[in-house]
Amino acid sequence: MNIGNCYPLNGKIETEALSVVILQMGPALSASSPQDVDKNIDKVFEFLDRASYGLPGYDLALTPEIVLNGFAPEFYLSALTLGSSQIRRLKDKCAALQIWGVFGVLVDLEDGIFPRNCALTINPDGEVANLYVKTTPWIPVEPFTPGDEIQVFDGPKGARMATIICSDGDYVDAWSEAAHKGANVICRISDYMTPYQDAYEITNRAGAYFNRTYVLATNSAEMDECFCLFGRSMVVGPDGNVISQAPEGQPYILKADIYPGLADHIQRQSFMGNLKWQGHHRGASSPETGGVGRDKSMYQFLRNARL
Amino acid sequence: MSSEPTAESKPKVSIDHLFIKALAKAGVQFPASKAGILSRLGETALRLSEAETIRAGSLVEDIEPESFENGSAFLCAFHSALYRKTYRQAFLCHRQARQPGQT
Repeated sequence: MNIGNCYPLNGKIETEALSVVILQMGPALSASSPQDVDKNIDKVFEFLDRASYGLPGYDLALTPEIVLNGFAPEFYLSALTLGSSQIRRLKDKCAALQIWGVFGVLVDLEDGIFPRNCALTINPDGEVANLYVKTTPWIPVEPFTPGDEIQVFDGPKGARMATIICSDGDYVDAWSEAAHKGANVICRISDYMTPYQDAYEITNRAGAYFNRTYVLATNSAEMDECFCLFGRSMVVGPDGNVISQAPEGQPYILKADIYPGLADHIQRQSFMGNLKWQGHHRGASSPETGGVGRDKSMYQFLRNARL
Repeated sequence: MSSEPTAESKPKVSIDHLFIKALAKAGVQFPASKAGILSRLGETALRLSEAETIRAGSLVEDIEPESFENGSAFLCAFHSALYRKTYRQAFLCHRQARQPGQT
């Protein structure tokens, strides 16, 4: 569950167990209209229903990035508005199954701006709990308008969740921002293709390790018009170790129980390894620094960063 | 000649180990204040060897910060105070004792 560090984990841990299902899949088709999206929703629902029979009682399900749309040449025509019947179907399904769902979807916010690449989180009441807009689209390929906020919100069973999307995870900033805002579970939904298999694992594990959070990483499988989506979805623990991993390239339903209260406990009670705190208190064990240490002002890249 | 180690020559137990055990026994949780930790530790003694004990609270009294938001913050402050009290003076004396030209 948790390997730990050179010191014991202090105190008594209270946590709920969050049962997570990760849907490693591809869309039924690359959508060019909202009606095409309905077919992709049907496929997602098939996976959710299978999980409800084989893994009954799960709390949270995650789909890959843009699984409802795919990447047809006219993908932008398949963008959904928040009031669409397709979004309504997702809400009704989450309410019917009494689950939290994180869905990868292209959204038209009806503001005249090119569609956004989003992670839509719906709660068991059938309400939108969070709409996250990908802040660092995969350039130079992705043409989507970026979002400007990493959000952290209350999820199930003590989870304080952040959702990030694919290439967001290639930048330390997204992970750090989520952790800074108090996330203990970071969901990374992706549509990641070869040859990035190793980079995908490295960044998921680093994100968990540097920030002492759980990472739920779901990736697409199979092939689309041009890419081979390698799968390898994974659940990573707060010390960066892989708890469970899906195989390469094939449709899969990955299941794991995680303990958000454990991540909170590790962040608060550990005598060693709270890298967020330690990085801002360099040398705090030295007799010269009074137990407080030194801040990060030495770093030129932080001082000279062009915002 | 006896090869049995004496009470003085037996290796001391790690202060860290005994101190962390004392914290756990006292139920210290973070965030915590220095005063709160001292209150919980009370007169708890750490047996460093057969011949030497030390009051756990004495190790906390020298810590400079008054509050600790997490375990790492506390242990860093603890080590800072410990090194300042024990090893820093020894280091400075060692430097002064070195003759010119010696490394």
